[in-house]
Amino acid sequence: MKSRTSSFNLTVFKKDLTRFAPAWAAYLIVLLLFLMGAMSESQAYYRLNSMKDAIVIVSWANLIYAAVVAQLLFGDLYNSRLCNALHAMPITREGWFVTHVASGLAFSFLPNLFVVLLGLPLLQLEAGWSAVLWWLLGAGLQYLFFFGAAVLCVMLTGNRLGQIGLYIILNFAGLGAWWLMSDIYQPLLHGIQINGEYFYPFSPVAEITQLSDLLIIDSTRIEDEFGNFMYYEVHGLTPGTGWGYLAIIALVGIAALIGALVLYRRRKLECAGDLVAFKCMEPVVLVLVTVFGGGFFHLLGEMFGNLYMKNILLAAGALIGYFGCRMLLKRTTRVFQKKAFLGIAGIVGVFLLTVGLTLLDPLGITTYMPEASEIESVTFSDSYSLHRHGNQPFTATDPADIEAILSVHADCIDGDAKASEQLYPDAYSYVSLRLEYKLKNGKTVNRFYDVYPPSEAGQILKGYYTRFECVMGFPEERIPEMAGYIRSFYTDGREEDAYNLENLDLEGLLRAVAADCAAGNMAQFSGFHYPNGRTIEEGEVLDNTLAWIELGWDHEKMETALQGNSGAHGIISYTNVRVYRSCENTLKWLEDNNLLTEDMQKEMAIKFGGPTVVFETNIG
Amino acid sequence: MLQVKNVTKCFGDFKALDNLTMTVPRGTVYGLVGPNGAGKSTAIRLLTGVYTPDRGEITMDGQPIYENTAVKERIGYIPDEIFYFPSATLEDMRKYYRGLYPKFDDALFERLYEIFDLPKKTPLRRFSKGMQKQAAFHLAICCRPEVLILDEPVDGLDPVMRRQVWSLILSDVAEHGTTVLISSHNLRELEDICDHVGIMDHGRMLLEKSLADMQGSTVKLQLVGALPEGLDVLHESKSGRLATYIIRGGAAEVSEAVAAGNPAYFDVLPLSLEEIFIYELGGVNYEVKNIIL
Repeated sequence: MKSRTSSFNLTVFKKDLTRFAPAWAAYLIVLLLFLMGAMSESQAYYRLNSMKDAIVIVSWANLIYAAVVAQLLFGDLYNSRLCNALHAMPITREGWFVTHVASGLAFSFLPNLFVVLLGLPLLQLEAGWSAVLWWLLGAGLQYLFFFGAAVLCVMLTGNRLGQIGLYIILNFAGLGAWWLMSDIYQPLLHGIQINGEYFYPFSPVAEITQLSDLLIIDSTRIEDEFGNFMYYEVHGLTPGTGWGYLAIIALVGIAALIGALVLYRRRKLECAGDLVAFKCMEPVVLVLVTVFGGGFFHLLGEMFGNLYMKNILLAAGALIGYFGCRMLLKRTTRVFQKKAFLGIAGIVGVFLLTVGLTLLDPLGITTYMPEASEIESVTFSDSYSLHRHGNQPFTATDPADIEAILSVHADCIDGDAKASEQLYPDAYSYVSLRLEYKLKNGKTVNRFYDVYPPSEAGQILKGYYTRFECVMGFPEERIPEMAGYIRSFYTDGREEDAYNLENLDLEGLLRAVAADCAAGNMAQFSGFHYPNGRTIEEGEVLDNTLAWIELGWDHEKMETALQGNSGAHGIISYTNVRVYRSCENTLKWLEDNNLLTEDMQKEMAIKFGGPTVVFETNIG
Repeated sequence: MLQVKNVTKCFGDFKALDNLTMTVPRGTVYGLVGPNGAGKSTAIRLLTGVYTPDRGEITMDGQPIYENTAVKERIGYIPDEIFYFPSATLEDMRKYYRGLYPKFDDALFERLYEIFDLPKKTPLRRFSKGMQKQAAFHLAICCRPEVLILDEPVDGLDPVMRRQVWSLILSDVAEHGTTVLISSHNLRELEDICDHVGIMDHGRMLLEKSLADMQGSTVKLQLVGALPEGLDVLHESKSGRLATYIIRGGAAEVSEAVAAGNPAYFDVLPLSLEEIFIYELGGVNYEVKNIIL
């Protein structure tokens, strides 16, 4: 019985596979490149690790590939000649749709299957089949979303330009909204930073690339007789976090495909060549393109670094976006009618209203401070803390500490934490402060400020930042234990291999750092160490840092010791510490171990025994 | 039987079909004519199930055509702009059509190679326009359709090939009772092969009759003398004393009326399809009034 197509047509399916073979062949090559990347690793653990990472990275390839595949398979809808000829044939729209979707899914599944099956013997993975299945599942779930979104975009639009534009907007809507909020509205909200984490899930390609723990490699660390790491013995793979998100976006992809089918059934084929397939979409597209145009030009304004220029470009971009979109929608350049100007005026009006409301802050968001009695703890840190450079986060639970931090917060709101006059460039003058209140009712309040180090608020912060736990990330009492976890040590004056720790009293180093902390000289921000209260003289070096030390820790032990708060990933995590001219104990330790360069010694105006610079302060 | 009942179709603000009603009787060769923009191609796209009407219904033997594979399998369609997959050969297209049309006739396909003499392995995009048209016929006829819908079918074919194509179509009609709907501007050719004609203008059907009825219901009168009253004159022109009138009515009926006035000279002539087309449209203000035949 020959096919009487109502849902799936094998002939069309086969034709799809052969007709667009160059597309999936190109995708296959990209996948093979990932495979070759994994093969270049010498140990099975790293090969598996590379494959695991590739599941995440391949999302970028899937993002582009899915759009290309959707456009190839359903591209006839954009060409009236093809569209008419094909739709006169005895296949229902459901038939075309189901067959093309099946082809589209095969376009991803078959190349992925080929690559993972090829990779199985080539990579010699201990967790081979498990890796294959996880790869297929990961790539499949991602692709399902991207393909669903791409097909939905095809059905909503009438030409290729429209499809590409809408697909970009849909996929980057989250990032775009975040950027819009953080670049335009956030500067109007003193102390507020809009968290990108809320927006990332709406831009799946960005969220997927954040899913670093998609798979966990079950492995045993093999050490030599001295306890040095040798290699990892791999036992298998277990799913990590992130699969839930992939499952959700795959479901969204399926929903998008169902929506696309509904739209396809309602689609009037004569819309081929139009920007949008449904007239009711025109105002939505117009607003989106206007915002996108304004935003894009505003972004270009970064090149000028000038707020006025950025705002001019924002307005210009919005106008170009609006009228450009109208031209594409109406397929004519005659779009400058009164009605069109009313439209752009409406969009500008809404924008100005939102800006005005943000500035006026009727809800008092920017001036809000929790009461001391409401606060369970407050953690404060500078912007580098998460990278274990600079001051480590400090969590205060003691009521006196909380009161002190609240006074810093109050100064920040009142503007007292700012300099009365600009003595140095901004980047050197202010220490960034992040406050994270955990309230007793379970809520969290985050605020972000720049604090001028000589101000009263700055000096309060300095008092905390110079504490040993803020410099090193663990309390002083744990020095003997933590010294045993050091795996590498580097400083400017050290010529030996950083991993060679023989004849080094690293516990002594940590104690020297602790002594400088106790002396109040270790706050990890150069602004705390400037000759405050006077302008910089010509040729004067701003940075008081004399040396850097970098300690590499056994990551696993550090993770255990710090209860998962080591702040880094990999085998070794690092802590970088600036050693200022005033840090005489640490400098003495470096001197004793011949780790100061000649330049450093020359720079020291006097021999050890006291700070080299008399620090002036200009509090208040 | 193909039937279009009170169909309206708009493209935005433009009304392409305005309450169109037409009937293509089974086994006829139906010529759909009309000026540019009359709505012929839109009507054809509705009849092939490509477009859906805003109002009204389109059926084949009482069954709706839109999204009805059982009906569409019985319709062969050659659009005015031929489509093939970019790198496809005629053999590739044969496989494709074979998978879509259950009654695809492979034996006939082989036989037609002798008539059309088209290369099997050359990509169709390398064919000339005429050869592409031939390939379209090659494929469409082999689908063994009960209804063949042709939009400007012989456009681009040389005279010999045109004759061959028409004869192929007519033999198909004779052998299998195929119903053929042809949209064309070449009225002289349509006159030779059509037995029914529909004249469209501004999305409406002006006139729909068998060709014999149509030619019998409008005549050309050449007259020297006075025109009797009561005749439905579509057009008149004069050259010296000789007046030429296009009159709606049968030849006998007009002759009788004119003869009663004892004119110095008169002759009643049948109209060609082209003349009927021009004068019928002239009656609805189509800008052909001053065309001298």
